[in-house]
Amino acid sequence: MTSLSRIGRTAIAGEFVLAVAVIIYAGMHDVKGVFVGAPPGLAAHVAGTCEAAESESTCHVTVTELSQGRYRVATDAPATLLTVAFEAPAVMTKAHHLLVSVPSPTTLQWHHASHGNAAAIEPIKLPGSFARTAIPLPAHDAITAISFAPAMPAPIVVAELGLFEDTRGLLSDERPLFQFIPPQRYHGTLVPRAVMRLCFFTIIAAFFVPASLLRRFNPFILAVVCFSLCLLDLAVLYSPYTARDLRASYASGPMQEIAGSNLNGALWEATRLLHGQGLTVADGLVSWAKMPGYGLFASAAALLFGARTFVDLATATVLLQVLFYSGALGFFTWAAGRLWRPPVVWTLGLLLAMLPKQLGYTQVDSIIAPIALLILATLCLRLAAREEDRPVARIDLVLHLLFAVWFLMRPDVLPGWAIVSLILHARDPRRLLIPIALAAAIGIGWAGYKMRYTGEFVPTTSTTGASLLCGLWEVPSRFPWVCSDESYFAWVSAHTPFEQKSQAASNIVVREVFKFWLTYPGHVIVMVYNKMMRCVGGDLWPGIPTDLQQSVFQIVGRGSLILLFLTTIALAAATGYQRARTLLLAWPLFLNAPLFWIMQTSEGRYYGAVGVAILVAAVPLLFDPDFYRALLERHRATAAVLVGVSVLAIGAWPLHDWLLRNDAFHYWTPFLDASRSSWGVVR
Amino acid sequence: MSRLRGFATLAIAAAGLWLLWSQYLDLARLSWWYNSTNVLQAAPVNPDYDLTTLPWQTVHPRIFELREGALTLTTSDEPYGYQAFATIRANGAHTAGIKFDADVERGGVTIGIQQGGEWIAINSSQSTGPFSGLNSALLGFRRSLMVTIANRNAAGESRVTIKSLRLYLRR
Repeated sequence: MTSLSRIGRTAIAGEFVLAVAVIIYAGMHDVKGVFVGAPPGLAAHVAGTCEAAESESTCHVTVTELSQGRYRVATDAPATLLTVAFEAPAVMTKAHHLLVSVPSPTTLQWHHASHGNAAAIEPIKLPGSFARTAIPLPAHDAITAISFAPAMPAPIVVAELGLFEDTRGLLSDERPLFQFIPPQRYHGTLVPRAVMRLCFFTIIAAFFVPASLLRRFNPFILAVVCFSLCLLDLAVLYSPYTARDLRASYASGPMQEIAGSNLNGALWEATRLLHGQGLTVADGLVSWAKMPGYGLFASAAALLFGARTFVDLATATVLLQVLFYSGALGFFTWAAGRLWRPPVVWTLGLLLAMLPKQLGYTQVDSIIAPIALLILATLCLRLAAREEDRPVARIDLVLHLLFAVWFLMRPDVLPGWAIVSLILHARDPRRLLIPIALAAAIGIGWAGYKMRYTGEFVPTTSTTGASLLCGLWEVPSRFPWVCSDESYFAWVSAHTPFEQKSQAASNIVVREVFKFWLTYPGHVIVMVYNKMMRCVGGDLWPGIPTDLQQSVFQIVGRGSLILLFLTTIALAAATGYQRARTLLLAWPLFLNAPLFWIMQTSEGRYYGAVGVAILVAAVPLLFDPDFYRALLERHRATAAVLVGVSVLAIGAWPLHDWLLRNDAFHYWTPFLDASRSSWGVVR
Repeated sequence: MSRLRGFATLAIAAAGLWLLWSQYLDLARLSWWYNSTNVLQAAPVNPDYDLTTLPWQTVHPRIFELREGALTLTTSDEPYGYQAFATIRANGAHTAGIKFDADVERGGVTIGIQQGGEWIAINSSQSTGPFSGLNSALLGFRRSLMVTIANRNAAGESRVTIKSLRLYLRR
């Protein structure tokens, strides 16, 4: 190495360290904003009363603590006035600012000590749309209460309310640098874009950093970087300064929905479990649509981080999800270090950390990606052990335990688990007993537990029928049906004698859906093709992209990136270079994603595992010189794949559009009479 | 070959340094801009220059009429042509801030500050109606700066009344 190289490498290593430090700092700066949402408020006891819009109806006020000294206050019925009294005179003397945010325009009136009733101070018009406002309190007279009057009688909601000594940290975060940039622009655009640029710089710089150092620190640093990137995303999506922070969002959103809804089901299960009421969402009600794992995950979050309130529990669960994702990535990079060079592992780990995520949602789909990462990590360890001719018995046990964890969360892993197990243990079929025993233990255990409540023995969920039915209506068609629980329940009530959420009802729906498939095979083909195209067009990276990802996707579209990775996988398979390894690591693409092409896709939220798998399978190949040599050596196979991919890239969407427009094919009924199907009505 | 590799490594190191510095500089400049415009919003009553004290020179506007503290301007047909400018000495100032209040009657207009032939602060309106703005910029080493008004109407002539325009120089 020349002295020029040495100087350059030293400089790049220094810049790498600096860039990583900045990335980590940027995310860590947002911890309080994301998980707490506001500085501690003054401990004024808040009590509310309301005046119902109709004189004969009653009106009650609910006060929910969001964080220390910050509350959500709401009426349970249409009201003309909501009055909030502050019952701590000693605290009130310290209060100088009122924090308030409301969803719709509302007039704020003051009540103070020297006037019993309406305010002598001018009322304030609050703008609505959850904009946070910090209002200086009148200095001359202590405020005892405030009233909120909507423009029209309606249920009154005050999304945030608190008393503070000063406004520091309420309307903008406290930053040592760049403090004059408004938070929306700073957090929403500038920081994510700057961090994205730094991330890409570290990918180049990693190839110049001493490999031994990178190998040693990759797992730890990437876990911390991942934690930081997760927080950057959450700070954009749940910024307290620009929209609603995580706590206020949950208090005004999922907490107001019926128990057992998508985002609160596991929280109710955890709360009730910790209060000794079993893994149920309400008295005598066990989830018909969920496995038990995510409720247990939320319970673990409550035990680890404390959950005095429901809002605390939601926040604790999101925090555990972020830690789990980061930890899983750390473990993966450690395992991946056995197969690939440190800079390649850095690149792969960073890309995985930069993917759009669903970590702000307290639903099981949010943690499927990290579970898949753990499984892929274990497969890396197994591949490395095989290459070094070491025994894999323990690795196999861990691998199947991780598959079992996925099954405990969601049953869609079963086909993939079964086929991967058959492939891995083809030469030693006795090992198949491990997955069989684990799957049976979970399935039978859950079925036995649920049986007490439902009277049915169902080892997984009772939603196969609902999911298959829903899947039919997620693609454009002239069928007048919609994908919703309500329409499923209505059909079950009208056509079966069974309880709406029962397995018996689901079985009948499954049979009826199969009959529909035979009645309209064209629609089934259109459905599978449409969902497959949406999947590879970008849906397989679910979650809400922020500017951290959008700034990349605006330059290279998601579809193009996915096409690159799929082409790489296809080239490896066609040329035989690392074929088994690549296909094994990409297993969710072949054995998990297609399930959702015939069942409910829900806009891709179930694809978390697929998104990480194609990166793990493809990215290392792109940095492998031997891969390119293999492509040149087997040029016919390479050319065939490239031509095939080109034809697909050019023709796949036009074919899709042609299929959608071709009614003769779409609504073709060659086998069964359409009038005998429950859903055989075309608009 | 190894020497070439060494130069390539140095080039990447330099690019990294530039990236880190430029990210910092961009954010620092933006933060400074927000701060200076905030200061401008609460600016003192007496600016360094205003509409009447700026030494206007016209390019070729149809009407340039300064009366009772307001400027009525009808531009030429040239879609983005300069209409009027006022060249003033920086006198050691490092920051220039501009605050204006106008009413666009037809077409659109651009108001801003130039230094060395480049716009360093620019506000444009392409629609009719009230057009107010404040902007600020760090001044370069040149001794003078220009307050410039330009047409911004691809279709041709514009007409605007500038009710007030204040220039603040900070040292």
